[in-house]
Amino acid sequence: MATNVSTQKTRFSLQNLNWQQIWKWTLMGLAVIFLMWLGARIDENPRGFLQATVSGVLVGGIYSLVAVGIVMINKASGIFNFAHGAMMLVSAFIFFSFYTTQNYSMVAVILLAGVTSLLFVAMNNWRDILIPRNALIALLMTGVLVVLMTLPRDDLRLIRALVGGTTGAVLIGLMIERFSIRPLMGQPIFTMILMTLALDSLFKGVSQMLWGSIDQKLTIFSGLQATLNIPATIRIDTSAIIESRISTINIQTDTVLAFILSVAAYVAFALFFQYTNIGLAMRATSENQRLAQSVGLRVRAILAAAWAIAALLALTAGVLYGAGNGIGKNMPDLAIRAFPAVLLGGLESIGGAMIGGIVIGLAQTWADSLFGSDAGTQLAPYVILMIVLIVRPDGLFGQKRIERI
Amino acid sequence: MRKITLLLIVLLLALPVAAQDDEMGLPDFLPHTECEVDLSGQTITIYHLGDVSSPGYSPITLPLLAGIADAAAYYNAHGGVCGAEITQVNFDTGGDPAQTSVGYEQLKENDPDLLVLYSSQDSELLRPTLIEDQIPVIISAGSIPGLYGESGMELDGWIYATNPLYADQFADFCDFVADNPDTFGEEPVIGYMGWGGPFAAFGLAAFTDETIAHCEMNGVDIIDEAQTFLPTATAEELATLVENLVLEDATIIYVNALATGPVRVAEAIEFIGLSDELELATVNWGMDSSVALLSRASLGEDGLPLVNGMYGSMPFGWWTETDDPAIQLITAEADANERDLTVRGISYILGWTLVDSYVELYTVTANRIAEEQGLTDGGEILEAIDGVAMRETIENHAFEPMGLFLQDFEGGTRRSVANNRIVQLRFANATMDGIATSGDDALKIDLGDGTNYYPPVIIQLTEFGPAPDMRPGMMDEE
Amino acid sequence: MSANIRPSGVFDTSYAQDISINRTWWDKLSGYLLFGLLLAIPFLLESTFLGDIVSPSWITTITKIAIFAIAAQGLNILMGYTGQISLGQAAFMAAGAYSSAVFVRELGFTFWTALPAAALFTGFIGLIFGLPSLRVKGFYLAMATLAAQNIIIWMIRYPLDNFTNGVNPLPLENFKPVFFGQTVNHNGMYFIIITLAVLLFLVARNIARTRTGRAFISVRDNDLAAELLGINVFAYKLQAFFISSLYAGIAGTLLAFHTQTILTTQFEFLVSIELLAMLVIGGAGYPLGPLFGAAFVLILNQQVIPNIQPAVGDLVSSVLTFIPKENVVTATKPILFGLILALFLILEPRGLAYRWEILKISWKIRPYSY
Repeated sequence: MATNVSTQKTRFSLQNLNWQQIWKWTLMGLAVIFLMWLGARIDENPRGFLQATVSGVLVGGIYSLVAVGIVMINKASGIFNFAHGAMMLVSAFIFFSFYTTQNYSMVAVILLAGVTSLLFVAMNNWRDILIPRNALIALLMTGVLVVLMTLPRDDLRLIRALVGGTTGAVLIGLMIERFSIRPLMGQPIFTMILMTLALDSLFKGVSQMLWGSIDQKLTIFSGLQATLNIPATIRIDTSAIIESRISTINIQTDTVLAFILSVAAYVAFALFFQYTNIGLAMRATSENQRLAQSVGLRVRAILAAAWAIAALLALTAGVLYGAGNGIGKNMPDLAIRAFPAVLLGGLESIGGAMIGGIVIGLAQTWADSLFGSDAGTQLAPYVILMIVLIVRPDGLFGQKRIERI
Repeated sequence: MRKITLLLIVLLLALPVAAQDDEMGLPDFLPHTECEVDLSGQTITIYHLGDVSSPGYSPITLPLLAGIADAAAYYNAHGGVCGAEITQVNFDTGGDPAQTSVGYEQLKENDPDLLVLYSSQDSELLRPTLIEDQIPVIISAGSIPGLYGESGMELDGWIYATNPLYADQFADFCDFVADNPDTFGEEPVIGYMGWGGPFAAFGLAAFTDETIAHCEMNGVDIIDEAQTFLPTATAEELATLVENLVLEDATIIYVNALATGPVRVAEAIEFIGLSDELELATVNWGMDSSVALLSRASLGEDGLPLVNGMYGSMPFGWWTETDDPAIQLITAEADANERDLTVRGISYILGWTLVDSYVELYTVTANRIAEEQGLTDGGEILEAIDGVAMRETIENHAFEPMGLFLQDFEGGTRRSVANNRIVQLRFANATMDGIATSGDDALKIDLGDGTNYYPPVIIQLTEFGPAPDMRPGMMDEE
Repeated sequence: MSANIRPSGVFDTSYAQDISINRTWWDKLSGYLLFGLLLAIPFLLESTFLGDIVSPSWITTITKIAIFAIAAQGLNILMGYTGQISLGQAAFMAAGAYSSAVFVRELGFTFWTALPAAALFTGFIGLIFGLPSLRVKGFYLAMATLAAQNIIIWMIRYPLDNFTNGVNPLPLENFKPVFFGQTVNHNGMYFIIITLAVLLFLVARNIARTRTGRAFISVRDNDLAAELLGINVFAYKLQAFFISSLYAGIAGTLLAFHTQTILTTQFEFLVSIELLAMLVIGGAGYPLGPLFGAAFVLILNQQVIPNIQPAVGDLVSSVLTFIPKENVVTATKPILFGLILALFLILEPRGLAYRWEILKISWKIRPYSY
């Protein structure tokens, strides 16, 4: 065996090179060249660059919200949720249905509320439902939800949609955890990833079946715009500063509102995770499941709650994105592009997800305006992903204990 | 029979509509060659291979299938093909090239005399196989590689395009621009946008060296970089691409995309604030009622959908041309079958014309084969018809399906030679000389979900006429 | 474990026997017979009554199964043996398909030289995207392959379109392989593909028995322990990446020469997921797993789903009347695919190959099965 050791040293001298340093310096060199080239291009079209920056940050807001949903699941249960985009799609469509129509079937509404309540009280164990107190809670919850979801007046449709959407999202989250994740506990990571991919396909199919293949525009901000008297597009005149055929920088009001709300949702979530008891329990569970269980935390219920919250984040992202751009087939793709944002920010970092999302948004719009040809959506996020993996795999704000060899 | 493994989608459409016995024949405006044979008791199947399930293509393929279904029921009730019943078999590829070959082989087992394709990608994939198997194919508007191979110069082939190719349509639009300096200015510049990614075979089909050369020869500049986008792209993402074109001084944006494409581009133009400066134009698929339906949520400042005033090719009759009895019939049948607004696209009309072509092609072929081979039995005649016989009919027999366009393959180029026209899509109160005054017109339909549908009107700007031939190598001969 | 179970009374008498793949003459014979039968299928379908029962489109399906089984076998070596996830196997197939096409079209290679050249080229591309495995593992590596999926396809579509025809199809119909002076047509590719698939499966089965294969498995089971035992984890991971991409490259080349037209849409992200599903359904870590998986998924996709769509559409829209039939038709495939994959993960995570092993054992030890 002694000979083996010596041959190995010479055979795999790859490892003796300091790849990390080589990569770093090569990339830095490339980055400098790229920046010089970029500077020249920006000089050609400064207005376009400004516009791309503004749009990029606004798109980034949605990416952040999607990324934080993915981080959330990863923190709580160590699963990388490829179905997040499909969850956005389905829950946003449920919201849309409650928002646009009033003549849905009572059976469906009662089922939706009933099953959600049932799963909610039996989050930890099916037997919990037999406890009279829990059964009562479930019944009451069902009643309240049904009443709220069938509010008659047209001007109350936002409330109806909010309650209906929330119920639907919670149902999706709880069902995913209950029927697909819990049976897989203890399985290797790739089983989990494949399960989320299977769910992704399943949810896409369900949304196709129930809502068809045509994109739907969600007009939740139109009332707000009318009352505040803001135009649909905000135009900032730049003709005084920059000479160009297009004299304005344009911002869609919907997108701005979506951005503000997604930042608000993001902050609310971060506060919840940091300062509430449930948030604390979740953090404890993600740290060490066995230890958490031994100090009396109901780990299964906490995991279920984590999925429900992730589904709510998906609903928020889906509705806000749908308000600006329509609900449709691009949501799952959008969520895949949020993975580079997650990695860039650091897998465990909630703050990092925000920065990561905005960087990916910027990269997308810049690449689109510089290269065209799908570069923004199909190339830029993944190039960033590769760079992150090679240079700084734990992301900008990730903990340094990531799986390394 | 090999039917055991062939649980194909067989839609038996022979629901005998209670038609009066004495009115078996077709109305006068649907003239057909007289039957010299009796095919009663036989079936003639329309084999369609295509993508009816991906979100990209289903907006046009589902109406097509619906159109074929309704038309087959109508023709069957009015005598079928010399008594033979028309049925429909469809294989869904889902847009997956791997499915195309399997679907083709499954359909091939039925020894089809004629196939219907609808996607450029499928035609490009199957082109060599079809030559080998000698099965003619009808496609609506094809791409150059689909019809003429990689070099674009291979005349041998079995795919027949009933409508002008995408490149021809684009060139025809260029001619129109060059002829109308009042509308488009003295120095028109066209920026080209098309679907990219998996749909780019269609999206970039009109952006060829030949079309660019043709347009520039006529004084219409084409920006030399096409902008591609995914069907799922949002208006804001598209705005960046439109800006790229605008910075190259584009005055017209030409969109080669289906359904959502022109709507999103129109939204992007509005978003940039250049609605007044940029003209929008599109391929025949963009001139679809589905586009109008999709655009109902995005209205401009005049209260009309943003695609109002869009130019495009329309190589056949359209829904609002109600003077045409064929259009009246199709509309009445769509009403009778309770077809949804989303199904009433141009491909629903094409489904009807397709069935009409089948009736004519089969009648002519059956007559000829019966005479040549001295057959009288319907089953034997249909058995004797094969791809070669059918191809002979297609090549030599020119006619007008439902009177909506001319199907004429003379000259051996396998593209129906002489029918394109430029039209404009207008909404409510549209007139020839001006845009509508307001959106609250009698035409407005309240859809009940807080939005309105404005049925568009199509305005013919040029007469039906031959579109320029944009095959590679044709330029030198001009 | 299973291979050691034999009917009582059968013993190894030499070391050669102990390490041989085919333990008994019957194993060997049945292997040859199966191979012969596979090669005979086109003739059987053409000349016997079988052709009336079984549609000839099954030949295409079997060919596709063989091609995708090769690609999935590559994935098996990477995932099943070495424990690294790849979300980009389809893109590596694309690299193989396009590089071989460019070799024959631009550089005058023949099929027989383009096949190994394209395989090596794809292996090299695999190495590039495997490089992050120096520092990261698990999910991070999956992300690197996700990047590979998108970057490779984008490169083929846009910057390299002078060679690849970009988004347009790249025809290969004028470059059919020549075998002993005979041009091999579309049907003839069946024999080449089946033979290569059998060979590559044998190679894969042998890799698992070599020092390298054992090293792969140790990396999968516990990389820290493997490193302590003196196994160069990074080098072996790169090797696994290389072999996996090699297989993908061969599969891609065969696909290109089989369909004779290549499109980037043949290698979408969805195909990568389908390959992963094939591995899970077939059984990761079993030499025959990819075959079972590829057969299951492709038969489902190509022969079953298109044929049941209308029936499902009628059924669902007649029960749930508010759903239009068209929507059900278009949703059948994603729903079935997701459902079946999920059920396999929950109920049979070791896949069909595991069932097959159990079946084999209980046959061998009959009548005393447990």
